[in-house]
Amino acid sequence: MIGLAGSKADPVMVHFASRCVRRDVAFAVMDLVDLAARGDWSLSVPPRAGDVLGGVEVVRPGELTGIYVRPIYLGRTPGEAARWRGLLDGFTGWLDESALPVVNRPHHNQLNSYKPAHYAWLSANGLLVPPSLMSTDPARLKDFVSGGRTVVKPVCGTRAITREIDVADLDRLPRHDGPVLVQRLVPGDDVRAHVVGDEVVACRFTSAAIDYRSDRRARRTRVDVPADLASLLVEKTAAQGLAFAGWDFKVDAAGTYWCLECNPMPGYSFYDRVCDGAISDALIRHLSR
Amino acid sequence: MTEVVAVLDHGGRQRLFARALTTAFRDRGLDLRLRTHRDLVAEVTVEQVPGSAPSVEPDRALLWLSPADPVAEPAPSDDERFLAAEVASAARSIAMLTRSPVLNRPTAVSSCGEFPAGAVAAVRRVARVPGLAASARPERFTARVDDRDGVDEVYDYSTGRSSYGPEPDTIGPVRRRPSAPGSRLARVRVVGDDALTSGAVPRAVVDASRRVAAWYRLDLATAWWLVEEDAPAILARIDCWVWDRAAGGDLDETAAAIAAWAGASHGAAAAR
Repeated sequence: MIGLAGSKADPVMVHFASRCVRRDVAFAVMDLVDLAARGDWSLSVPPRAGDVLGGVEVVRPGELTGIYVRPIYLGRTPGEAARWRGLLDGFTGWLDESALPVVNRPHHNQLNSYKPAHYAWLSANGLLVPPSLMSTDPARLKDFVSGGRTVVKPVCGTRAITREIDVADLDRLPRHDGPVLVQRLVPGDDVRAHVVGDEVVACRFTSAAIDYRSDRRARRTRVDVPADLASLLVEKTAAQGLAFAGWDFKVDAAGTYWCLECNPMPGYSFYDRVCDGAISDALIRHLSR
Repeated sequence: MTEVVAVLDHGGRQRLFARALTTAFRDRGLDLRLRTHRDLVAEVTVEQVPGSAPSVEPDRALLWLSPADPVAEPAPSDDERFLAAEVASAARSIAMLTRSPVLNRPTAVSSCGEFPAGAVAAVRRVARVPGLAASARPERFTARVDDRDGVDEVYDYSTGRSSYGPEPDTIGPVRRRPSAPGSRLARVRVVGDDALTSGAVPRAVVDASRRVAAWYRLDLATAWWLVEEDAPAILARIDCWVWDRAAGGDLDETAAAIAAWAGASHGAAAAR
């Protein structure tokens, strides 16, 4: 039986659970928000046979075949935060020392939240990354933006709409001494490749929009990425301590794959619908072993 | 003169530490600049071009002494929170990509060396250090206090207090670890090749502290051990940040050891 640890308010968890139902795969829900607020639980580190999470369902995590974790904190008060921290300290400690397959095990790479370091890691690991600049210096930023089409992005990995920027836009940026991260725009299709263990499931989007996710009319198809790239993605996903990751690419007119980022906790339901559930099926296989 | 940048809360929680560092670096003839994360980000540009290593300008030796600037009080607006996250992310990226020596350089897995973010993992993972398996105690976490007897070390998340055995008002969740009633607490601060101790500490404990710091790729770490005659020392806690309030009276010695580390690191980098 697969364990789902997260929140029932998370559409990705609901999507995965729905696929399990369609595939007739048994699963147990560990609603971390409910467990923290009202549950009765006991966890040992290292794990022991009597460990139990008693919420809406009573789950013995050691009896599961694998666990899919998406810990999203929804509390507001100091009391809720304290209960959440106690549960998460115990649960992440338990996961860290459990032999079960976990998607994704705690303490994996966090680079996606540190974009310049993330780009450097991607480049050093065989992926082609568009030129980028992080600066607070208006002259440096102006010089970079003048050199070709450019997008501006958050440094910290917060999900945001990627947008194109020109020199005139730079003057309109708020004056707050904060860092500005700009990257050369690569015209072309977008490819999102999900790696689950040693499987790769990819889909391609053709759109005139800078951010294809905002374009309802984008053409979307399931594709295979080149075999050498697929092997590299599997290897580099594992190298980050991840079992599941979402890799974003732009594919230019020459067919070159430019890597934009690797997401360590992909909200994959949108892509799974394009791929007819193939990502969820790969997750089910990985967590059922 | 060699320029070194200390990234810390020099106007707040690390004011005394900053003052001690300034003196120690001056005594060694090293030029120390004190910067917050925001200051650092305002001064540095990172550029990346395919096929080349990232360029960090200016590229200076860093002392990475705090994970982020303090959060403004009262609670910041969404925009301020976003800006704080952007600054913290940019500063950590700079510290990771700087080619000059960085004390406690952050990595892909941690804001400080390879030190795990959670206090539980930080102590438990020491069991993986060769020869230190007995240093980590088993732990148990429960939503409520299911056993009011015993003298386990108990941490109550609801109050933030620790005790031997649950207090009458402990409500949980709780973290419990077996206590070592006959032990005494010993502290070892590792700075580069130096180890500063509070009182007499067995040589084996000092060596173990060095191995733990090396395991987590930390140049600066403080380890607290429970030391008992004829028993393996137990690691109680480890930390990679130095705050004025919990410094333990050896800020001057710590600062002098950091200055020595900076001098030696600069010499090694220059020789390369």
